[in-house]
Amino acid sequence: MYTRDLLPSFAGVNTFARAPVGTIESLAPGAVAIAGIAHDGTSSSRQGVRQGPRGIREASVDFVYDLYASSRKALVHVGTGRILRPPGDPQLIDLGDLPIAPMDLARTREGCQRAAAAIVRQGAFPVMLGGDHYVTYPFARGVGEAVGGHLGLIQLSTQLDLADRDSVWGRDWHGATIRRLIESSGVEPRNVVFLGTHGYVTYPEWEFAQSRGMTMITADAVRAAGARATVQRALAVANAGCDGVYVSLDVDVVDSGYASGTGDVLVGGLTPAEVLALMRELSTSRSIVALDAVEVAPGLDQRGRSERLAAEAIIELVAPRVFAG
Amino acid sequence: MTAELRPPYPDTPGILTFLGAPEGDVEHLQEGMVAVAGVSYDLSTTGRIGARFAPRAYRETSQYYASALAQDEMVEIITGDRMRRANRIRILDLGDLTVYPLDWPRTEAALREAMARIAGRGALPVILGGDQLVSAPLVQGFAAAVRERTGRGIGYVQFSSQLDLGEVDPVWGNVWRGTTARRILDSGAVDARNMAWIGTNGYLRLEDWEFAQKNDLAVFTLDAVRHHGIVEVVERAVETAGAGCAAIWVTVDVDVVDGGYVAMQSVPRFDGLTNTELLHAMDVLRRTKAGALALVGLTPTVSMVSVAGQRFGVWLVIRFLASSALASP
Repeated sequence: MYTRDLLPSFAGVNTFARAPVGTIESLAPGAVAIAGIAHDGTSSSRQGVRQGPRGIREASVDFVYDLYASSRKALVHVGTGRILRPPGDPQLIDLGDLPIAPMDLARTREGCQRAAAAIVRQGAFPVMLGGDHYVTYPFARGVGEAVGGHLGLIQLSTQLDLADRDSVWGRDWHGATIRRLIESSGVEPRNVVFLGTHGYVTYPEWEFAQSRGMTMITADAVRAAGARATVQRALAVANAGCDGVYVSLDVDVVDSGYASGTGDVLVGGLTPAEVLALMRELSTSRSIVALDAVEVAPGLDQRGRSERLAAEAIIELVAPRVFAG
Repeated sequence: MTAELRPPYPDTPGILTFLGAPEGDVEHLQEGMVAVAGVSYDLSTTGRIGARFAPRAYRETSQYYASALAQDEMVEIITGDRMRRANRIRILDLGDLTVYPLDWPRTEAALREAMARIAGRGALPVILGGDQLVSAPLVQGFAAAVRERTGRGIGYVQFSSQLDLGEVDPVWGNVWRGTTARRILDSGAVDARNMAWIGTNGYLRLEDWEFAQKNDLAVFTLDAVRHHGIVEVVERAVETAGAGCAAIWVTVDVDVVDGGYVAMQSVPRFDGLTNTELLHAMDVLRRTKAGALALVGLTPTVSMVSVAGQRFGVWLVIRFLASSALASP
């Protein structure tokens, strides 16, 4: 008799980490809900991040294969001793990709915002797979709306994304994400932390961040302080007086030599090991209420490293919620 | 067997033997020679396939050094090693060993027998893999030949992100790369007290980790390397592996290196040794009982436009051989 059994990592339907497919309405409190936003219409860089959700899902399946194949159903991290175990039911649910309207940004924005709010109102923890970084704006708005208003933000990215109006792209593009967010929702500048910023950013953005009391912890500062102290500082700032903290991981925070699958080619960024260590430290905080991983363009990384890094980073952050057995 | 060394070629033309060495068969090997042999097998890898192309890739990129060595002496800037292709033949390229892709038991027996014959002639094998599983029969063949010649056993040092101490995988059964070290151990080819792992990092299956701890196996993690330095760690590993043994087999799985340096890995790795740490490890190993080197896991198909992985692998071999087969007279 035919029975379904464990498949090789390259076979089967690629939901995130082999999670069951579900709907927002079916989410139980405490569940982690994966939702893709395959949108890249507001990227000013090389195209391809619309394939991000699909690529991250595929890479995640490869990573968790060993977890399900293990006779102990457990992985151990040699350096830290962290143990990963398969999620219990219904801790991890893949909602698939959210509806978008590629030629209608307002509709896309509204849909993403409503979906994020609905996920959080179910008592679930949303993990959004981008998409270009602009989608963080409506998604975080929705999260903030549902948690009660005041949201802190920790963004891992090379850039600040604080542009006001670009002469080519206007007001709504991935370089203006955080500016739009603080203008239109309950994210106060004093609760915004940029982690891993490096290289050149536009002077007006730099000035704006400083004048509004935002916190910038550059890539050099992360290295000097180490992951634990960096995260403690970031959480203290982001969570002060807030109802929750939103974490946004733009994969371009990693040096392009390690992960080239993103729109911009950037040198001098964090190493993948540094990013994973930051995510591991962040994972211990219960004040974090949502996560996204954006700007992943699998087609721009022939080596398949960028989407795999995004998948591992997500798993590290949600591990205590769903991979603790 | 080609009677003479090849003339100096530019980097590209000619028959692409490893470092331009003459081709030959096992019967042509003499005591003290280096025997280069590829093993074009990759069907036991659970990740991305393509290691079958690594032997060819190593040979092709080795022409970069072959061309220089054939014409002039080379100096390694860091170590000060002076290298020249010897006037008399010291390296022989045996081509690729016979494998039967869909018949692992037959492949295993063939590799075991081939290695026993190579080592039986007193040659130093340099293996261009192939996925890690091929190390298992090769180590068994090497151990048998060394015991036959010296009456003593061998040690085993594995550079890898993983321990490869698994027994059975629910999908792959027992023919998969994750069983390699366990097969070596269970076969009796190497005593557990003479096995050492260097550079282990990231997530492992819990049962592998517990097996290593329960049996008090010598595992030097990436953190240990960072704490003590690669030189001290390799020296300690060699001391463990070589105790009471006549020779040590060294397997280098390319996934021990951070994928930022060598992306051609079947599974992307986000931490690991630096490339220079592994080169320094070769400098230590060549002064020890290390009597065989196998490079495994390189997956050239991951990046068809880069030769960084194979170039690095060739350089590892050169550093390993720098005080013997390639030493300037």
